[in-house]
Amino acid sequence: MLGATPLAKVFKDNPSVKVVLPQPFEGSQFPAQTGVAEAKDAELVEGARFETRDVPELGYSGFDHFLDGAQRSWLVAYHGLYPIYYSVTCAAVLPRIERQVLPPDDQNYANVRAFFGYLLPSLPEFQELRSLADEVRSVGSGKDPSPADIGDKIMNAISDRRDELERKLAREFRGGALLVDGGIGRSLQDEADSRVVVGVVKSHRKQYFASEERASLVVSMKPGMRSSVFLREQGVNDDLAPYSFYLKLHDREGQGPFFGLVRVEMPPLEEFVDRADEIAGWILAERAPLSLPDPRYDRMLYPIRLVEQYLKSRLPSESAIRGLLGK
Amino acid sequence: MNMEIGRVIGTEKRPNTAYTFFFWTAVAAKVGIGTLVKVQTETSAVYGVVVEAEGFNDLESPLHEFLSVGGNADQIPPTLRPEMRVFEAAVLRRDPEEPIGAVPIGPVFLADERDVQVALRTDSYAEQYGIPCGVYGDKDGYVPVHLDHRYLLGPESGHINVTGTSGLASKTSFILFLLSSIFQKYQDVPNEEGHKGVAALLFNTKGGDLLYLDHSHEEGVEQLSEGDLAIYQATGIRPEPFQSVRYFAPYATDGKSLNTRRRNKILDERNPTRPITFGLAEILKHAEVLLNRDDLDAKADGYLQYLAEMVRNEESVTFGTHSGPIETLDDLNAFVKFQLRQADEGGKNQIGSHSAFTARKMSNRLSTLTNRFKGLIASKGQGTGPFVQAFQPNTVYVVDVAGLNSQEQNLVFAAVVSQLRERMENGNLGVARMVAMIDELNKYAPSGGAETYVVQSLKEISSRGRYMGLTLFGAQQFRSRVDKEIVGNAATHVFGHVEAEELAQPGYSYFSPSVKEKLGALPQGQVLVKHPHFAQPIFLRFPRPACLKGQDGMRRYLLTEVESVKATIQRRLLAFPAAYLTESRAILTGLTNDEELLQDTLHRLNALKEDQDPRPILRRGKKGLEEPEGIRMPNSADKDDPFA
Repeated sequence: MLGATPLAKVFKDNPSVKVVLPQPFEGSQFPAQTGVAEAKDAELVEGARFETRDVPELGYSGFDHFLDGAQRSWLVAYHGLYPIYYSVTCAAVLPRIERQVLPPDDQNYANVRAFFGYLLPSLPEFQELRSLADEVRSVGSGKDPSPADIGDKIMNAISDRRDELERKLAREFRGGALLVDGGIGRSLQDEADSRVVVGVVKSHRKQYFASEERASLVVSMKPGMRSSVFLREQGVNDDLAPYSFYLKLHDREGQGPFFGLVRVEMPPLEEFVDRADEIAGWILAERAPLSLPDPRYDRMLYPIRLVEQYLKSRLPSESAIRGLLGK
Repeated sequence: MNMEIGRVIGTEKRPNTAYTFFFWTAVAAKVGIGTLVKVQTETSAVYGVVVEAEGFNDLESPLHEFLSVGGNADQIPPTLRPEMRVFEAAVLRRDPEEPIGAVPIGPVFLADERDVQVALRTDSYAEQYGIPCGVYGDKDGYVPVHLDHRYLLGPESGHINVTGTSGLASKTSFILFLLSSIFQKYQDVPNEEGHKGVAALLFNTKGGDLLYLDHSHEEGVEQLSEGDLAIYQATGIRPEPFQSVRYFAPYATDGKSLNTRRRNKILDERNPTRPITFGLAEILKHAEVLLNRDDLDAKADGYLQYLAEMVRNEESVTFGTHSGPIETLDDLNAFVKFQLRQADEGGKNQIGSHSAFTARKMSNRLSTLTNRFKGLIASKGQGTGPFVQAFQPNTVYVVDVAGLNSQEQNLVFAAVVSQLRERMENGNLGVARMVAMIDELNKYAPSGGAETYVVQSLKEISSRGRYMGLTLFGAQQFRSRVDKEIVGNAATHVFGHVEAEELAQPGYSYFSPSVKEKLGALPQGQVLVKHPHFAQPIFLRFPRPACLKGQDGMRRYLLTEVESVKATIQRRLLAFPAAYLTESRAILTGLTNDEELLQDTLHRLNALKEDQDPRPILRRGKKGLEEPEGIRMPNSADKDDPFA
């Protein structure tokens, strides 16, 4: 799209649209925390009671592909008081061959550049706007919605778009064992999907332990320990409910209870309950190298960080965005 | 076909400029300091040479890696950190040449043979004016690199300066290969009038490095390697010794044998060493080399010039039993003492316009020279040596001064350089281009040193020699300690292995840190060459010279006993036209055995041009000291002798 007519030129005769200097949305580069914070004891699928245990040390990892997504958005114009955002969302599956994480082939990389705004199809310049991006998406409905509400909806829409890309790549994945950054509720084709697709969730906004007994067990886990496998309930946007367990990667003096704690998701099949130790062992092997200096290094697995770096390298620079806007 | 190896990158912190650019490559790419690369875009091509190399992975702190493996070096993580190489390159050439903008972002390729020629501009001159000086690349694909002889030997620019640590076979080996290349490839400039071809004059200052240039390396222990032969083949230079070499050496203190490691019967029969001596006038002219600077004030200089002029003009003087021109240092000492005695007896403080005190001081100094420089001073009249005859094209003249002490070497050097300069000024070098190799320039023309006659001569040669066909091949270990004007006038600069201390001097700030590091560890057979056509210095390989190494030669040709003067004369006769040989030998058989007379005969033969008839001199020796008719001595005017 770069090299096309700049946005400022498109709207130069429309006094209701004001193109502004591109302002990156704070925290827009990678998925923001979403979902409602809550805590509840989940249904166990391994054993009769919730417990924690040491994971047998394997010293190797069976994962050979890694999936992550990224997004970045810029406030580029106002249509009246309503913001118009330009976003780039992308996702990639990177293979690991002989210990080297390599760039993806075309089938394993997805990238969408899009404008998001309120009632964009009604603009006379809609067709020209479409020529500047892959997609132009209208967000919000009804008469005179709140501009702030439209802004929030745009952010959610951008995140959803990224999720869609990740979901598509995960569903199309064929091969060995795929490690996904985040949950896999939308990554499996159905409940019988037995591909090795494992998710690592770093966020604990939703906690699947609520009772004092379970909470005490989870927060007191030592590095190399995992919890019993439980059924993680299906989310609003999920296609199914995966199996899950907590895994302690690291611990450190002076850090909080969630330091180094991740929640692992795997397909909801009995065979994966049996393989929980193996999968946990693979993830523990991925602790080295550390993802420093990323502040999330205690939960961020290094291959996932490499995918993130790869995606970041393909995002347009500020200069490129200014070129698009003609600013 | 070019191999794509990376891509140009430009960041805000380190943007590309018109003269430098950055590019990344994969770890396995065969790129290093000195590699030539090409940036190719749809509209332009930029050629560069790598001057800096950096390697990266994603680690910000070594502590992160330590923590990753818990301090356990044996732990092998399942994922390798991605690694890359970033190189900085200096621009050699761009196409189109204008505008001179920043280097574009584009794919980077290893330069192939054609790219190397374009980047170094050798494509425009190699065929007509090219002198191969080495090869670029490795054994998988050597590309010959040429110097432009118009910029090496004049007239466009000239002179070459070679820096390298002594004893590492870089300076002399490179110069010998280059000379061989010049002799094989030099073509006279079409339609240029005057003398033709190239000759070279070298000083052998230590060991036997330059004493076996006409002997093949095959006589030695160490043969040319396959790599050497491949370079010879790539450059089109025949791996052969020099075809025509003339050796000169001063007499030893016995005044009979020559002071050289070439004193060997086989060598003498194959290519005899000729004596080099200097006339008394030349010695006096270069008295500054022989005397302390404190001695040589204006008055002393004036008095020496008075004596020198008298000797040069062959003025006849009578004192004691002497009557005639002053031809020897002994005569000169006796004459000065005679003048002083006369002044004392007459109660005078003056000898002519000169102070008797000055004359006495000079007498004391000159009297010490008699023994110190005995082997260098011609017994009578003018000296002998390479200047007796016209320089011949494709001939190397080697003056062996290795057996002399430092002061004697200085004298020879000063006299030869002066004569070269005079021949240059008079336009009668005898060849189109004359190369003079001067090693240890920091000794003869030190930075910040006195403005001696030698320094003046070297400056003259370096500043005007290129117009007059005289080229300086200067070499030294410490470039920073050589007169800046002389170094600066050299158009081509070559660097072999250079010590770190020398590299720390300001004159090397031009080089990037990595280039300096490479120079500090440069192996034999590699040099960094800067030439007017090259926008940046280029690392090249050159082969070992195809002649016998000094060490091997000295082992193979051991010193032999000093032969009789008559035997020397016998051998000397072989140098003259064969038509005179039979009769000359017959005359020699009948010669007196008077040592002094034989020595005088030998000296006169040595001073005779080799296309002349030696018989009159032999007959003179037979008759005695009477000068026969028909002898044309070299100090008499000779319209055929360009040096007369």
